Amino acid sequence: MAIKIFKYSSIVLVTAVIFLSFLIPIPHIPALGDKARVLYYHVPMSWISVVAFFMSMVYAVKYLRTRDPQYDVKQYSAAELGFVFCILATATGSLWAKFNWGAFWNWDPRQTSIFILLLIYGAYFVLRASLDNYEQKARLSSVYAILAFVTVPFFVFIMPRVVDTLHPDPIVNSRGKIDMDPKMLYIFLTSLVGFTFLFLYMFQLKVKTEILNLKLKNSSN
Amino acid sequence: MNSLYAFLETNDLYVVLIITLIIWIGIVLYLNRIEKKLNDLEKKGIKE
Amino acid sequence: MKLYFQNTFEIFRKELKSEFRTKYVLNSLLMFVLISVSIIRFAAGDEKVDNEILTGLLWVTIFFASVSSLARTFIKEQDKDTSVALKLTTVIDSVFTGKLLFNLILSFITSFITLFLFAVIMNYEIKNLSGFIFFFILGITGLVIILTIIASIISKANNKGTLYPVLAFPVLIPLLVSIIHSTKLTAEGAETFSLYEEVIIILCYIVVVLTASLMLFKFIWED
Repeated sequence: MAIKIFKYSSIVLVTAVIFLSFLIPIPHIPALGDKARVLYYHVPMSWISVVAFFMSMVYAVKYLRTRDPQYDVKQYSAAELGFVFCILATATGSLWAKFNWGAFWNWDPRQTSIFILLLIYGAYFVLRASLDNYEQKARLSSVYAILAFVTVPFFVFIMPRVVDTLHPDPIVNSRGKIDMDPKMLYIFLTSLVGFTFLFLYMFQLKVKTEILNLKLKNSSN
Repeated sequence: MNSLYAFLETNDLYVVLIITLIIWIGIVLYLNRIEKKLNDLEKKGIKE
Repeated sequence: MKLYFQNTFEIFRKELKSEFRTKYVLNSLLMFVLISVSIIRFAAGDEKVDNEILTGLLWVTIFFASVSSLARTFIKEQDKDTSVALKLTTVIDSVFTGKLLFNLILSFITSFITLFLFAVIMNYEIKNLSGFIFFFILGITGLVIILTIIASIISKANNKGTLYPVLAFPVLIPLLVSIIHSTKLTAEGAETFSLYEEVIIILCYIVVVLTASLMLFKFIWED
């Protein structure tokens, strides 16, 4: 049931966002211009890749507590989807950077942090691929997911101290206020919700498939 | 390639369009992958 | 609790003993460091290498030297099938802390030798020596904690050698970035006190990582 709600509401919301993002005029922002519309697409991508990473950690903890294979499937699926959205965030971000900063990649703190997220996801899959025993695979990758999650917040504190960023302010900026045109804000929030639902729909689809896979494997043995 | 770059540099909106397309293609490719996996499972399930 | 410390100490002593019987890890670490420093020296030729770059190279050398040999303490148990015996006779967490202590000692020896070689061969100048050593010790401690817990994970996996840096690096980036930053500044003569925020961040990192490792180790060491 929930899967259908996510499916149809995400279809409606994302379609609406695609229309509105191109049609609604936005106030002029110096140095950004129309490129500011990227916000509707790029930010949800990075948001989802972080959410997926968090979900993966939560399911890892649950797996270690209960040893229920279902949680391992969820953990793995969240990580895989997170990886996909992380790649999308990197690709869209660097294309935007090419036209705004003049280079696809210039080691801006935010680019570096998405790069680290990519590395973590990559390392996680390499670890899973190199373990044969299913139970071991689930257990050790859960441990790694938790360990990696614990260290990521430090990055947020450290990077700005070492290099300056050119990245536009995050949505809620350092003064804790939301400085955005209200029209843009509404479209942005719609987009955020729409893409999150899309992510949840894809996540449930993936989990269903993997659980089916698991059941078939068990019945054939 | 250079003319494309020059075109995109002056027409910001098309950059956004390309980015939307990238996301769209990425999501479709991923859903396609899940579907392929489901099809394989279906076949395997029928065999047994 | 008393048994835990006792076991930790015993495992530490066992590691030391088996290491000093062959001196395998220590020797290979020292050779690795010596080779790296000479390669850097040859590459530099007659030119004076910038101090800033030398700080980076110092950490590159230490990172790869540690990655090349710190995993051995756990892989050894797996290869020789002694892990079952360890599991039967000791408190679980003490295996981790014992091996961590051993790796710490080993890394301190080799990294100070690396630092010495850099100073002698590459003319690496450190203006604020006490501050530099302080950050150096903090950095090595954090590095070794992560490398030890990752070593216990990869000892179960197939392609151990390549997997080690792949798994360790993403987790280590926050530490490496801040430690390279602060050692570079202290080498240029910055006051230790002016970098107190870095000290706090690095200390927090070490505490968090150590706690997480202690909590997670029993899940790794299960089978």
